[in-house]
Amino acid sequence: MKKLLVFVMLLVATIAESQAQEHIDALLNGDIESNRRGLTMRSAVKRDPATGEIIKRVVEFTAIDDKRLVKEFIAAFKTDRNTAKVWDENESGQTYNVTAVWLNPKRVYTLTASGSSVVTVYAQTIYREEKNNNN
Amino acid sequence: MKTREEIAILVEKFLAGKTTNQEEMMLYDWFSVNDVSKEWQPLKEMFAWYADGMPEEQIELSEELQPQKRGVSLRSPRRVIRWISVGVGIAAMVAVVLIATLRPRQSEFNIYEGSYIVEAGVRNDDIASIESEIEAMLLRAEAIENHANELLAWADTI
Repeated sequence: MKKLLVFVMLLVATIAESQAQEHIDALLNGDIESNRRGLTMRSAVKRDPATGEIIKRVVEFTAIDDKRLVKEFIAAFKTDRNTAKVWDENESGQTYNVTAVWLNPKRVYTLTASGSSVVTVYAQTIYREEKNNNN
Repeated sequence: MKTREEIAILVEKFLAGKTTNQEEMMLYDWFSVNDVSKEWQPLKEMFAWYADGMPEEQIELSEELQPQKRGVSLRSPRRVIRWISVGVGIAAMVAVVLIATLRPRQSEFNIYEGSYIVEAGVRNDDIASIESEIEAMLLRAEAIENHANELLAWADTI
């Protein structure tokens, strides 16, 4: 019984994690391979130099001259808002900014919409905190 | 079955005189049943000699014409020097093996392996050509992460 309970809890946690920012991820994984001009996606993987283990994965997506994508990303962020641990938004003139954070693992997503046709989204998943080597 | 690295550690311990009887037996057994590389051959011979109860070599004995009669100890200076030389050589070899096997492995891969950029439908995953761009992007991401950490800290105080 105990094992079943643990299994169910793990399953719920896994499902919750996968659904945490699913609308945003669905857009990011959508048509970026298409030949549309004005779309740039940078996907960075940072690994532990000693073990090769992935420490962090970051996706930076920029769309220029695409009003539809701006609207879709804003809608996706707002849909996924309920599952975020932290949500911070502000609007200044023509610029709309959102920072959303989910935990376990830590995921930090930001959206910057400039005007009605330019959008930049950062989606980063931090699997392990890096040691500060600056000291 | 012990690995070569584990045996190398035990050998170093043995040479430092810190092995237990059980560990020494393990070394004798390992060297008696395993084929070893050329550089470990002296080790194999040495442990076989120990395992046999450190017998005096018949040839040397005959050459030295029964040392007791001449008032010479069985552990003649020649023999001691020989074993010191063997020991020093073995210690050096073990040190080389340990350094080679136990030091933290330097990256045999690029730490950004798996990164790519897609621009206007063209994908570039040649790390050498996009590395600076990836590093700049990771710096921007770090600034965002710091801001997120501040937000998390603030949320925890509520």
